[in-house]
Amino acid sequence: MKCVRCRARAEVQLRAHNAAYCRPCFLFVFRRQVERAIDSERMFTQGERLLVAVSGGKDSLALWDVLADLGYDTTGLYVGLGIGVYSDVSHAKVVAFAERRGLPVRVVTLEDEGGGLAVPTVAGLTRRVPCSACGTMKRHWFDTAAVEGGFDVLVTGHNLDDEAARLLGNVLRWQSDHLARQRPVLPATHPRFVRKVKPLFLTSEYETAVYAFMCGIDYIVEECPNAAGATQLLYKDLLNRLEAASPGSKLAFVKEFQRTGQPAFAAAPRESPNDCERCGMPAYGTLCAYCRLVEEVGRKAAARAGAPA
Amino acid sequence: MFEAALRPFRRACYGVSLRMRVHLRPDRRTVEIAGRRRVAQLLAELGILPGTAMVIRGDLLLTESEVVEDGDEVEIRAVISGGLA
Repeated sequence: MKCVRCRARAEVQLRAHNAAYCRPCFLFVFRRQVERAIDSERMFTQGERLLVAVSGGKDSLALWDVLADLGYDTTGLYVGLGIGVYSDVSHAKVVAFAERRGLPVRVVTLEDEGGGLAVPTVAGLTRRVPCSACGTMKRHWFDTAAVEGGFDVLVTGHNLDDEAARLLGNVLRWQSDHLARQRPVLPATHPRFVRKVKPLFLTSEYETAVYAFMCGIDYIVEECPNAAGATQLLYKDLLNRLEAASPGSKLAFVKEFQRTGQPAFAAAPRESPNDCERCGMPAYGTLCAYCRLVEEVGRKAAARAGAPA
Repeated sequence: MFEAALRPFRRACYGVSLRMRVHLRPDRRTVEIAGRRRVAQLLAELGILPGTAMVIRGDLLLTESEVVEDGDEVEIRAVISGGLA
């Protein structure tokens, strides 16, 4: 198989794009794809300060690498979730990458700064799906770190597969409020929010993995131990089966939703959020999702402590 | 390229044709498979969908049309991540 740009031996085949690339051409095309997403969606400009949420995985580290190469002012944000060895290893990968590239990184450890609320503790006490508790906590600390650090934009490494799986989940339940917010750029709609962007929303996770491999980025290959059986993985598997039979389906699903479906959902009138009574974050009710979670954990921990043995 | 150059020497040293060793990550599992085949066929035999894993030989990635054979050391590294419901 030959590279479609230079006819050299191809290392990567992208069936969705009906293309194959050698290493230098793939790296060029990958960076250009990210650059185009940033420009076409007007995600941010060179003068702005970017906080890049990094997990130690391929997507966020590949994205950080590209943004740094493109000359953006980036700072990494790692949130330590307290998931045993997995968190230790992912933390070490992020720190090593930042040191190698000479990039600043901020570390928020939930066990220290989050009032001792590591993900396993919260999931165990509330009996929530770990991924659900984790998502609520991460979003809170991402927003907090971005606002308190004076950043203009919060950048996340959500890729095409993440977006397609999320879209499928939202459509299966017709979650119109979620569909209205599923965009590659979310403007800062509240004083405690900064703009949130996803430059990889049209880039598959195969492509980000290939980029990380080719650039020698040492990312965590192991899956989060809590992710086994997660709904998103089921949706990804379904979409990958569809993609194998009909290449380009995921890209069309997400792109066409953004072009035609999302604006219709966004046009529907929505309730404006209040300010959370505790932390000031947007809330539908008196408390935001994170403070409701913290309250529930406190209540259940107290009940457990007071329960007879 | 280096792996391919080593193959005849390995065969000569061991006297028999070595099977291909396939390392699956993140499973940390290794399987041995005999015979020459295309990467696409190898993935299908292992029940791996195209586009869900990188196939690595040495420091090179292999496309589905490449051929792998006895004596090769191949890593198949899954690219799927996630969990957020």
